[in-house]
Amino acid sequence: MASAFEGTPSSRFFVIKTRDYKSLTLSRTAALWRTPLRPGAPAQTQPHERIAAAYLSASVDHVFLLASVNGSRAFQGFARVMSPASAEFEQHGLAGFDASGSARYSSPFRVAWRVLLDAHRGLPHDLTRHILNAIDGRPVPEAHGCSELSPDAGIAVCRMLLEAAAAAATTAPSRPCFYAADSAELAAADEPADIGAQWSGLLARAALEGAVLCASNLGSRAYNLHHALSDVDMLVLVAAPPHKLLPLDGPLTTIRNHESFKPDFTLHEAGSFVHHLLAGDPKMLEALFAGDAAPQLFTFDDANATAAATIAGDGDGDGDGDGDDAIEEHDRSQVVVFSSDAWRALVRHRARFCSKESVRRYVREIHGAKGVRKVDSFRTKLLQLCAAMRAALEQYRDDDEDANDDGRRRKRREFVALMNEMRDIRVHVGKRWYILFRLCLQAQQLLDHGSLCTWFPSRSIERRFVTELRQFDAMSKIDDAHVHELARPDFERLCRSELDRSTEYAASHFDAMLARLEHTVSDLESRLPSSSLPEMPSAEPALGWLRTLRSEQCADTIASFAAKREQELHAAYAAATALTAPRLALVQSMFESVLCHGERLLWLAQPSANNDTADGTAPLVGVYCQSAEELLRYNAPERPKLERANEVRSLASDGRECIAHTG
Amino acid sequence: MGVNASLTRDDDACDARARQYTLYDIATFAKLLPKRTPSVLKLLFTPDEQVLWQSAAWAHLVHALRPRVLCRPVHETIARFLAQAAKRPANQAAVLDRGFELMLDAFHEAAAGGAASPAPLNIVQRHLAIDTARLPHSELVVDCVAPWVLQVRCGEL
Repeated sequence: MASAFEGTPSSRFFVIKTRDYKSLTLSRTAALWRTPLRPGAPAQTQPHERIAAAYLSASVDHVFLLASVNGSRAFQGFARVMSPASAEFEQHGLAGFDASGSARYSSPFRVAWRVLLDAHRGLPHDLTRHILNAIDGRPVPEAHGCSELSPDAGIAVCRMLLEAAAAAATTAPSRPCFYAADSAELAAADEPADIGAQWSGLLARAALEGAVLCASNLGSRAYNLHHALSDVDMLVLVAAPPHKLLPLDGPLTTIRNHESFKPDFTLHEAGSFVHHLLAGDPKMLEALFAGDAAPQLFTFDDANATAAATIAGDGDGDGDGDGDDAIEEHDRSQVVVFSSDAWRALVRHRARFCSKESVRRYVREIHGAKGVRKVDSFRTKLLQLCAAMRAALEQYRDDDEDANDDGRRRKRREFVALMNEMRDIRVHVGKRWYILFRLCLQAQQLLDHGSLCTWFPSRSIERRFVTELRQFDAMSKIDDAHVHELARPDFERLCRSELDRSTEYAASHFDAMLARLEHTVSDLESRLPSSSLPEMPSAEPALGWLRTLRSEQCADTIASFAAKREQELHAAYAAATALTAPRLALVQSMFESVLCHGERLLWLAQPSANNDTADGTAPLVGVYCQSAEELLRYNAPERPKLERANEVRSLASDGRECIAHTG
Repeated sequence: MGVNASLTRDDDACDARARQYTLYDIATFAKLLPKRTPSVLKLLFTPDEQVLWQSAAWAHLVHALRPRVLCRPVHETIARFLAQAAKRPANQAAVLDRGFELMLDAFHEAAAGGAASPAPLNIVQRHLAIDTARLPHSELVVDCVAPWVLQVRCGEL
């Protein structure tokens, strides 16, 4: 990439947005970009037309596009426009562009990428918020897709991107696997076989954020409910150092990979983890029970041993499960990849975090938008597809498809698309049922035994039941070419068989499953009030654990803060001794307040001599810094908001902003 | 205080004497700074003779911030502020106190590019005559304050 920047005040700058980072890498490879079409908008206001007009204008030096991936809260790079949009570039290909979206796009136009940062190393919007777009007076990060930036704003952002690219080039560590998201390594690393590399990559990344406390699998691999193609969900817990906990914009809490990237990982800071744990978040609870066998689950009895062994994957089918038990034990031991002494200290208290709130949260998740409601919407969609298929088959019976080979291919392609869509939905619904019943089983464990089932033994009835719900996972898509070779009666039979299966699935199977689920959930809900579980997790062990963790890791910071505080209070008090008696008493009262809260007093003034109060003292104003120890003790992710601060300020006119401390 | 930090502290217990001072938390002060609200600007431009005591850390911040906040948002803030004062003449004395005048003077000098010692009575006219195009849009005050807050909290400054 060229490092020289050719932007001038006569250049024009447009912001481009994309749903995924992959579109940017595709664009760089193809040296093309395309903008979404705006339905109903006049031709001259379509984004690609505005860009083309700017490009062709004699008074414009260059046209630049500043790219930002939706949801990334960052700019990833910028490109220079090298041509207006033209249909002739269609053939050069941008296959896979915005694969996750459904927008219609203009013809492509040529671009030359000047900077394209790694996906995870974009220029954060927070760093560009001070740059105002003179066109609308708003901060640059608030610009919408295809909106124009003023040249000074555009140049400023481009320069920052160039600096970020230069810094990345000199400081980029040799990062393994998926962190080099812009490369073929990404795809390779996503293979299940490469899990070791993925873990080492994530742990290297996590170490940049703090001391790793624990690293554990999440999702199906943690529950022993995965299959060969299941993705890898990773959880890492770190204890961040003071400089990541005390910044103005709040402490490090949680980092997740962008949804476009695999594998899925979640990195929690210890304070954030404790916050979620004490709110009853089942995911946090599951992390504390990760890798635990669940003896409370039912295993197959002897009479069912053969069936059990078959389902559990005992190849010889003799039901003895010889080698498989050892393999399973090995797999189970791999769920927790790393655990520190500090983490194990928290795990010892895990039973005290089991609460009714976690059960309620499981139930809420089952009922929620991604639960039963989602399954219901899938069923509606499946029924619609069945109706469309049925109508199409009726029509097809009367057609003379063989008259025209192209026509026949086209018609059959439409059927194949419908059938594949129905299969997709069955896969999705199957996976959803599997998740919902797994949630039910875990809530049941929590309620019945006051502990969590995280590992479903291969020979347990529960596992067999749950994995059977995923039977459609292995279902492949219908091949277009293969269907074309079928004789007409065979093709019709295939279509009808798919239709029958989907209709049956959407009707009777769905109702049966839903009835079963609802029965289980209502049983859970009815037993919940009489359960011996506490309402909420016990806070004391978690907060005590966090306090110990912080005091060990941040001892130097706490000591430096305390030393400064003492020094400043002495100096301030010495300065105040010259004041008259009533005012000195006021200052003393202020000092007591600051001392009592363990804070630093940074500034003390008497801003106006005109507002003396009735007893002859003037109002004082001070500025303080909250106690570092207090800030480090418990970092709840909720931060005070500006609105809230404004609200407090509005109260100031009532006199309530004045501190009242009686010591 | 923890996460319940607010611009000022407002404890439950209160007595008449204690009501006579206000404490500002630096985190909220820093967050309000980009908006250049009058109260925050007043803190920043309090004349030296009214300061009873200041830490080295605060002096460091004020020195770095004063030139940075003089920009267009300040102009807008002052305009709003003066408009408000014009509507309610009784409040003018409170609004145009000594610290605020000082800030206005500094602002006017920055805008005019030269020294000026205007009389308070002419503040409104002078203010309206400022050529805002000569002022920067906005300096990155947060860029300066955020590291400062971190250093103060870590006891490094």
